[in-house]
Amino acid sequence: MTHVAFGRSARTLPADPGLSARIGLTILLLAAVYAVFVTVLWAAGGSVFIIAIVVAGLAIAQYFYSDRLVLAATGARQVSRAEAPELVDRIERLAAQFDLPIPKVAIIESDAPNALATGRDPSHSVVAVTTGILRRLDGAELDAVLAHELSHVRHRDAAVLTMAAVFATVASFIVQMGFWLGLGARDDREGGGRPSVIVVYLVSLVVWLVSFLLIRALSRYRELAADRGSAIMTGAPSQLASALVKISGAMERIPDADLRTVEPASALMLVPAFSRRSLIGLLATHPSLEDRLAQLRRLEAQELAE
Amino acid sequence: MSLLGTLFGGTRRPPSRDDQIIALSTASVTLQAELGLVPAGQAGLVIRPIDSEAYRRAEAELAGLLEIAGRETGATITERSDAYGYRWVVIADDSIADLVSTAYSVSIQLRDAGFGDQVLAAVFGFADGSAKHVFWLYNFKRAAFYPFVPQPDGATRDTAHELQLAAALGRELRVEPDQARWYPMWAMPLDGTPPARPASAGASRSATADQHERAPAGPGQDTASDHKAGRGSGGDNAAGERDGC
Repeated sequence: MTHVAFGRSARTLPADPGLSARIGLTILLLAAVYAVFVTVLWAAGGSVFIIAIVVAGLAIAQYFYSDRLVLAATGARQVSRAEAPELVDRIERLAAQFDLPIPKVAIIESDAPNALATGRDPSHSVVAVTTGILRRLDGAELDAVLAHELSHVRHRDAAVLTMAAVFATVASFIVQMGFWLGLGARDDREGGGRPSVIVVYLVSLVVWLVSFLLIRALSRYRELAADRGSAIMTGAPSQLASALVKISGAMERIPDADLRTVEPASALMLVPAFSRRSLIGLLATHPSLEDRLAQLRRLEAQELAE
Repeated sequence: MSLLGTLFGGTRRPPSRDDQIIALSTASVTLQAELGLVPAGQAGLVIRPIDSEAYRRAEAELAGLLEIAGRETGATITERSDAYGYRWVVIADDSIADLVSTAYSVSIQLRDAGFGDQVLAAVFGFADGSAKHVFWLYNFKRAAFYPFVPQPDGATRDTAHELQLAAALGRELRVEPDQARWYPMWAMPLDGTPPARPASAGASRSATADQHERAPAGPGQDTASDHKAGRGSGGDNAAGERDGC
C-alpha cells in the first residue's frame, strides 16, 4: 500500500521552465499595461469609468457562458454515446487519465478539420470536434488531438485568455467609441487634474495594440503548453505531430468560406481557422506548425530516452 | 497539480494509487447479501499504452509477469486489447476475495514492472439476475470506487441504479463523491458486457471501432454468473486477445 515504490517509468517528462517563464512574463507585462490603463480610467472618472466597468462586466459574463456561447457560435451540437460512441468513449477515458470531470462532447458539421475546448472551468467544459477531423484522423491521432483539448481544459485556457482580454476589450471599446464621438469632443466641464478625453483615447489605443500583441503571444504559448500536455498524457508526441500535419495540409486546401463558420472561436481551436499567411508571426493565435512539430520532436526524444 | 502550475501550463500525469482497492473484498458481502449482486467472476485492469522505451520493455515482460501472478494466485489471467488500443489484464476467479487481491497484487506488479501511472482503472463485474450488468470501477487516479450500470442498449446508463448502489456501499468503500468523475467504461473486453457500439450508432465516427467490431450481441445477453477465465468467450470479446498464460 505504498505510494512510493514506483517503477522505472514513473519519471514523468521534466517541466519546461522556459515555456512557463515566457507565460509568466507575458502575464506580468499584461498586468503592468492594464495597471496603467485602469489608473488612467480611474483618473478620468465619471462616465468613462462607468463605461469601462460595464464593458468589463460584459466580457466576464461572456466568459461565464462561454461553453454555451461557443457552441452556439460554431453551430456545435452536443452528442451522446448513441450518436458518436467512439468519440465519446475516447474523451471519457482521456478525462479519467487527466483526472478531469467528464466534459460535454459536441460535433461541428464542417469539413474543416478542427477541434476546440472551452468552458469557464473544468466542470463546465465542452470539447467539440468537426466532422472533418473525425473523417481524417485515425484513432491514435484523434486521441492526441482530444488530449490537446483536454490540456486546454486542465490549464483553464478559456479562463486565462478571457481574463487576459478583459481590459483589452475595454480599450478597444473606448477606441471605437472615440471614433463615434469624434476626436474633437471637448470636455470643458472636466477641469482640474483629470486627463482629457484625448488622453484617455490615446492611452486606450496604445493599451489595445500592446495588449493585443501580448494576448496573441500568450495564446501561442498556451498552445505549445497544450501540445506538451497531450504528448505527456498520451505518451505519443508523434501521433499529435502526425495529426497536426494532416490537419494543416487539409486546411490549406479548404477555402476560407467554409472556415468562417468556426472563426469566432479561433483562439480556442486546435489549429487557427484562418490559415492565411498574414496571420503568422506576432499576430497569430497559434504557433507555426514548424514550432509545434519541433517541440513534439524534442518531447519524443525525451520520452524515448526515459 | 497546483493551481499555479496549471495556470503556467504545466502537465503531470496524475499518479496511480491502489491503496483503497482491497476494500471491495469485504464490501462484496454487502453487495451479495443486501443487493443480490453476484460477482461475475471476472475483473479487468485497464492500461493506457505510451510510446516509451520503459513501457515497451514492460509490455514485453507482461506475459511472463502475468504467468507468475497466475501461478501464485491460482487465477486465470489473460492479456487483451480493446477497440481503442488500451491494454487489459483480465483476471478470472470464482472468489471475489481472490479476484480483488489478485487485481491488487497485479496492479502493484504492473507498476513496479514499469507501467507506472498508466494503470487507469480496475473493473469488477457483477450480475443481479436481470439482463443488466453491474460494474464497480476502481479509479487509480482518484483511489475511489464508483458503480457503472450500462443499459442493455449499449448507449445509456442506469443512473438511478448507480446512485442506489453508491449510497448502499458508501460506508464500506471510498465512493467517488464527484459524479462527473464516474467515467463510464464502454467497449470492455470482458465477458457479457454490452456491445461496443450502441445499436443506434450514428455514422459520425466508427473507423477504429469497426475494425474491432464483434458480432452484435444477442438480445438475451448471458448472465455471467460463473464465467471461467477467458475461455469460451469466443466472439464475445473484443479483438486482440492474447493469452498470457
